[in-house]
Amino acid sequence: MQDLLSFLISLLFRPCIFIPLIFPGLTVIFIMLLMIIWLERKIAAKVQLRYGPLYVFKPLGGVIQTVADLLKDLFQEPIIPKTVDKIAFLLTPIMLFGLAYLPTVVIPVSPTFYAFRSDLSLLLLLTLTTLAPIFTVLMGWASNNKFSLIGGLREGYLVISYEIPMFLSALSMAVLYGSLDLVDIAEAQKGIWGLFLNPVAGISMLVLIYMSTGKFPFEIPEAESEIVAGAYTEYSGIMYGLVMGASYVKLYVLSLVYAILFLGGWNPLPASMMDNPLLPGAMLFAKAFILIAIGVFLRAVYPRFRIDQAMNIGWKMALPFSILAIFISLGIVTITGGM
Amino acid sequence: MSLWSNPITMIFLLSSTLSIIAAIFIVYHKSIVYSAFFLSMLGVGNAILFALLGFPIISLFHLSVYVGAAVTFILFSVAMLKEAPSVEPPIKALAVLSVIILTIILIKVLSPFSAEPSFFLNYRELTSLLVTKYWFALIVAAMALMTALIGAITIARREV
Repeated sequence: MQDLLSFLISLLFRPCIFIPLIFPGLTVIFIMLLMIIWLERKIAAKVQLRYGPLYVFKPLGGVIQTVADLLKDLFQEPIIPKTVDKIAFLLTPIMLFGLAYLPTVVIPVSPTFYAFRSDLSLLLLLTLTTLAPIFTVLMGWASNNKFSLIGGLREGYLVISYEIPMFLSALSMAVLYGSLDLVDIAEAQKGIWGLFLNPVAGISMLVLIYMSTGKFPFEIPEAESEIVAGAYTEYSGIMYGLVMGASYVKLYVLSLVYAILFLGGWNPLPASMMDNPLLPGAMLFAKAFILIAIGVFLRAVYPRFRIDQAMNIGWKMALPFSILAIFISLGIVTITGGM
Repeated sequence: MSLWSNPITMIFLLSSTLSIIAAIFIVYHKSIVYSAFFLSMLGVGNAILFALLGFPIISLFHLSVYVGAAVTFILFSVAMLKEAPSVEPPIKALAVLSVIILTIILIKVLSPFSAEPSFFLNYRELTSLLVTKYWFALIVAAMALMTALIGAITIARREV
């Protein structure tokens, strides 16, 4: 019995199981979702001089309010309207959440602890994040509802605006460090973090991350005051939980990538602490969590852009800045002879 | 190791089956939105085939350009249109015949080649090859893309 237990524990700590299932995979995603939605409501409440969620477990400021909300969502009857396209309507939330979660398998936790290492891992990660918007557009069509369709199309417009500059900003860091391998990129930032070497790429990537995940001021595809909940309007119960969770998961994944590309990943931990994956993992998670918290804080302080303003920002500001970022990287590489 | 227990062979069979089924559905599904979705499935299948051939970088670009970008654009356009009634030209027998002939020809032509990757394409080698040996083609391609970009901006600004 003891042998079996120790075997199961050792199996759990193998990178190919630990990373997709525990960190940065499902378990941490689940806890992070519950925490971040509570934090979002709490921060917005503080800014607007309210209490926010408070009554479920008062001593800790209502922190398990989101657990109660989740239980409500789980046991709510999922309503499927008669006019929707049933297969697409039911399949898209699952695909959307699955594709938002999929890139976590590529993310390394420490220099020696990763499920998958390739000299193209950054490119693979960026590619996997481009697949999810297909399902938001499909969701808008399948719901057979004007608000949903407009929400889906707005998502399409945003994709056109953010995808290319985001790729360019991320790849400018690959140019700077001469590698597309996330482990190499994080290891190269032992001294100076990428954000300080190439701040233009850092700032444009951060703005584009919030744009791609529909956070304020770019919460255009699901603008409540205009189009109810955008592509998610017709969803209820656990399916609504899945589609709402997907955008937070995408924010989490992109924040982890940002932490690796610009904030040094698991650095500045000393090499002696790298043997156990928990400490570097905690460092990486802390950095990503701060970025997510900034993202949800923006909800409280910014108004929403119109779709044409968001497209202008994407094409007229982010694209030139990301091209500039590539030139800055090339300049640094030319001067220093490679990082 | 037998042919069936080789994971590469299994992945090849699964992805090629996925590609063929997706291609059939693209043509035969009555809804164009579903056809666009199956186009993305075809793209995924083809990307896996490229990766199996030893070209992971082409596979990733295929995935991001033909699935991530192109299918989003197609879905984006067709979702706004009304479903058009499909018109089927009465040439089914001819189509089946041409598929059979093409299959036979492909089997004859391709049978001496194996499915094993002949070499692994490293992106560093690829880029150095592009800028040293094929630099002129690269410049021409860049200029063509630049012209397309300028054209797109001109149309978007409605100055013509």
